[in-house]
Amino acid sequence: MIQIRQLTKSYRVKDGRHYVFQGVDADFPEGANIGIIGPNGGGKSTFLRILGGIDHPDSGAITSNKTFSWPLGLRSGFIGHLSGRENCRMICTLYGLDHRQTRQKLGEIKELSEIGEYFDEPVKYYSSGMGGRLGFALSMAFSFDYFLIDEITAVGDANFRELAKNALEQKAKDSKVIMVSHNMGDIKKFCDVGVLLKDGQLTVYDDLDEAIRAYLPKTKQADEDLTELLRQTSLDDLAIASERLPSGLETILDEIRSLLHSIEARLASPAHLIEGEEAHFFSSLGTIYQQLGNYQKAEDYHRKAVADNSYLLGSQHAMATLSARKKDGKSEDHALAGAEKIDANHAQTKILQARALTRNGRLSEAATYLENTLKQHPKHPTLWNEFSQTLHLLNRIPQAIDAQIKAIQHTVANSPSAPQLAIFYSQLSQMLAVADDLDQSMRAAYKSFQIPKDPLANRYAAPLRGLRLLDKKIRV
Amino acid sequence: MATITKQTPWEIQKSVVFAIFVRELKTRFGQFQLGYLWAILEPLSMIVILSAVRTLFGTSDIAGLSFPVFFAAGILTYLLFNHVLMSALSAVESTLALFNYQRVKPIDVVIARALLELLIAVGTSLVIFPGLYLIGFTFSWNHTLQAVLILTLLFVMSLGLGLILSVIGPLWQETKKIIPVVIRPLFFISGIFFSANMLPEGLRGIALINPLLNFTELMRGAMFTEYQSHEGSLFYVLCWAVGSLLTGLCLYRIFRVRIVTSGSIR
Repeated sequence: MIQIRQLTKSYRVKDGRHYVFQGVDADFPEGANIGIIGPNGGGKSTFLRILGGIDHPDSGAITSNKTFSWPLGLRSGFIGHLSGRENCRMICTLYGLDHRQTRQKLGEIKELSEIGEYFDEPVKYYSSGMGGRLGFALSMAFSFDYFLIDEITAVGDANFRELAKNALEQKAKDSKVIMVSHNMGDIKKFCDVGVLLKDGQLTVYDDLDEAIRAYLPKTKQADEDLTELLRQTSLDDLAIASERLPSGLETILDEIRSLLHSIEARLASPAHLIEGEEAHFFSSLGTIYQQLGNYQKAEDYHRKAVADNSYLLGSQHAMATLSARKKDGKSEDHALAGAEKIDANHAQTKILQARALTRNGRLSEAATYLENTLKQHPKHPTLWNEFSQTLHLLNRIPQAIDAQIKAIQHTVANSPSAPQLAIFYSQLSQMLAVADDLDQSMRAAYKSFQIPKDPLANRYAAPLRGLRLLDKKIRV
Repeated sequence: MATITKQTPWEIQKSVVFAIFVRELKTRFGQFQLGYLWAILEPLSMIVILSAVRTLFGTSDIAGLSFPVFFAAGILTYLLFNHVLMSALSAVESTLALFNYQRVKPIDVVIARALLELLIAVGTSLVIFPGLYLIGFTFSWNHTLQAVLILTLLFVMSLGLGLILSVIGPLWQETKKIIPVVIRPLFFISGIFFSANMLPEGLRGIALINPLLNFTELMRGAMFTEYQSHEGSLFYVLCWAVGSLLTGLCLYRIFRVRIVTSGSIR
């Protein structure tokens, strides 16, 4: 039985106090695995730390006759310069195991954690995934009534999740988990009962799905969008991505998902925003959704941004691109006019205008337009590329090839390994093939392959970076 | 399947202090091959330097003791005190990771570290004094039990003061800068290279307010029959030992929650 009585916990902040809990009363049902969900800053980890006895409420108490593990986090609880083995040996001693028991446990821990030779390396060299796995394996060496798990399932690969699940099930007769996770899938996999921590209040839901529904009404759409996104990702991309990063694509998507949740939740309550900032945040979110490939959401946010502040060039450009995608000529014209009003000479505005002409079949006009613009921006790679593509469509292949070479030269001058070079070279290769210069075409194709193309970087790194930045900004 | 056998609070504290003690031992001596040598080298170098300076002024005895023995007793006393306090000062912040485990409390770290310093002090003494004796700086041993009593009182006082520092250290960041500045002058006024009876009458009373001077006096007196200065007061150091331990424990009791949560743990 876990009883929570009048639990109050607050932190001092710049102006006054921030209450994580205020007079919370609750009883947790007996013998259930409990999943704790809620927005970032809702007090999930603090609650776990109080349960684990390493943080203390201002007033009130949690009483229970059960034993709790320490909160299992990503890298906490280990001393960096000691090896995994030394850390584990120390903690076994800490918990009163004698020398013989400890030695036996160390073998089991090494096996379950699957960190192999790293077991004898200093913990500071571990990835957060390895730290989390070692912490989990270590805790499994002991019997607690409740294991307190703080997000560690997020770092494991699918294989480790299975192992963790099995290890916990073996203990299920006498042990339960209380876990915090952003990943609703993990919560569903491990837990029976849901606890929602939000706005200083704690609500126990005997039906886990109900808790998740209560938490996710607004952000459900975003969740589904991302699930859709996952479906679009080809198997090859997934394989490459999970090979490149030890924590795997799932973690990245999890982080994107949770950042989106918390940012959108905070945007929903305007108190978090400084006046006049909304438009910028909407614009950033729009760009991030655009990068993620969710064009509907992107359009919604950019439209909101433009409605708040019509001087956001980026959003105007995005609106033009997105409208063009939907073949909505009217919105496109409107956005282009907006962009022109802000900066008529901006290269991107010009490119978008040329594209509009191209789409209307006025190819030669588009080419002339771009040619004139190039006089103002003679070193703009994207402009040269656009010009080349238009010439290609006009079947003026030799000029198109020249323009494309200019585009490549100017890109290389700026950054020799820019990912768009791969596209530029492959376009060049096609044009050279059309011009029957097969030798050069092969060379261009070969160059194109040499440019590192990281699908993960292309698809997720930029939006993730954007989200992190936004999250930081919105927090301050 | 090893369950955690239900332990009494006393057993828990014993396990924790032991685990941290072993960890500290490994951190201190595990990383360098010369770790154990280093523990001896620090007092030894100080003894050699003081002795070298002393020979410039002649090689006569100080207060009845040959001067390297005289210096050694003073330095080892001072170093134990100094090391216990310094290790306590950083006890909380250097062990933050361990406070993730409910049973680890800051006081355990202070105790474990102080015990390690005591072990090192006793170990180095057992090498240095017989060593000095063998190379010809002879002395006659006085009273073991008395020496143990003085050592215990010194340890208790250092532990108490260490506890006080471990509490105010995390609460008040300036402590870390101020304390070394306060402790360093003690090297010069605690009778490491003079005995209390060498001081002029008027100054002696004031100098003996310093408990560490009382300790060096008492320690030399307890260890060596030849020592001629008997100015230290056993009652006075007993008061200091009991007083600092009680103050330390009270402060710890009051602030034990705040020192961990106010630390940079989150």
